[in-house]
Amino acid sequence: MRTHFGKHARRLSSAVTFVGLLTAAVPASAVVQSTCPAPCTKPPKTTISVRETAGVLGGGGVMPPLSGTLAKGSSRTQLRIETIFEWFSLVGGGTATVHAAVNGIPVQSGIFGGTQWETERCAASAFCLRTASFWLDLDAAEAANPGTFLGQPLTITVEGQSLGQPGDSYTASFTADVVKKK
Amino acid sequence: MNISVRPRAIVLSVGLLLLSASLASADVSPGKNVALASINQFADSYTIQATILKGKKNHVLIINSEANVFGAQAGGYCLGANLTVNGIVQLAQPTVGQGVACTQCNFNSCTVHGTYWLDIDAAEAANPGVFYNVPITVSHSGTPNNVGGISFGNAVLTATLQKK
Repeated sequence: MRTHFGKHARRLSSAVTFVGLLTAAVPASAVVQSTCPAPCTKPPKTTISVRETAGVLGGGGVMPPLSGTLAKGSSRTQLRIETIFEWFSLVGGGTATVHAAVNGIPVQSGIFGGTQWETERCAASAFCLRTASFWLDLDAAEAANPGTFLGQPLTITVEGQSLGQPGDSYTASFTADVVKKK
Repeated sequence: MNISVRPRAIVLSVGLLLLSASLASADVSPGKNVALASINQFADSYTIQATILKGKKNHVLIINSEANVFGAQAGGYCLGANLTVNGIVQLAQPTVGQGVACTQCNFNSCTVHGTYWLDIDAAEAANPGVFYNVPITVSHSGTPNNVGGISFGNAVLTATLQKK
């Protein structure tokens, strides 16, 4: 079972890496900025930062994913992800969510074992700014998903959703870095 | 002579101490890779600055900022972060019509927090001579809009220079 899952994870990792490289190969829109701009032929080792400065929320108030890649995962390190999601809320009462994934595997937020931060509700016709922090122990993640993280490129994807508010303008940003455990 | 001067000096010192205690207090800690600044109990608006000793190639500046206010007399105000680096680059993207990144708050207390970043290489390319091998000063300021007066506020700023 574990071996089967490992193969599945490796295939998933390869697919995510391929999609990540494909995404990186596509010319970025003028409003997406990255510390490794497309085509990002040499992903950074330690820190990657990406932001959207003039986004428009899609159907269901979903933010198109922001993505960036670090060169490879190393043992005895942790990955930290800090995110910002800011939008102008036309409709009040909606709960916004922010979630992150690494190589396609959702990162736990710590909220009830879930994988997204449920933020407080935002009032109508209001400026809303929400931040969320995530972390991933690469050794533990590798143990749960063999072949997915260590020695592999790490593609970080951050998504946000402001429920039921398509067409609202937004900005979003994340920075991810790997740090040694000691 | 010394005996007569000392009491005056003590009174003067105590007076200055009490005066400074009644004003907002700011702390700064410049550094090579990490710089910190904070202000406690500002009454209206604030500006704090943290300085990294010099900018380096192949690095990213990561900035954490937080501000909070207590005792706001009105709701619906914008509590925002205005972050600039070396007086040129604005980091927090302005919310439409606000000039700063902000969140809208209700009565009483409110906090705004964010992690922002600046690619030093891109910043230097856009502004030659302004970021490489010179001090990098991050300024964090704010004036809560339409707040109707507050009891006090606090703000903190952390700037870290990290390798890509």
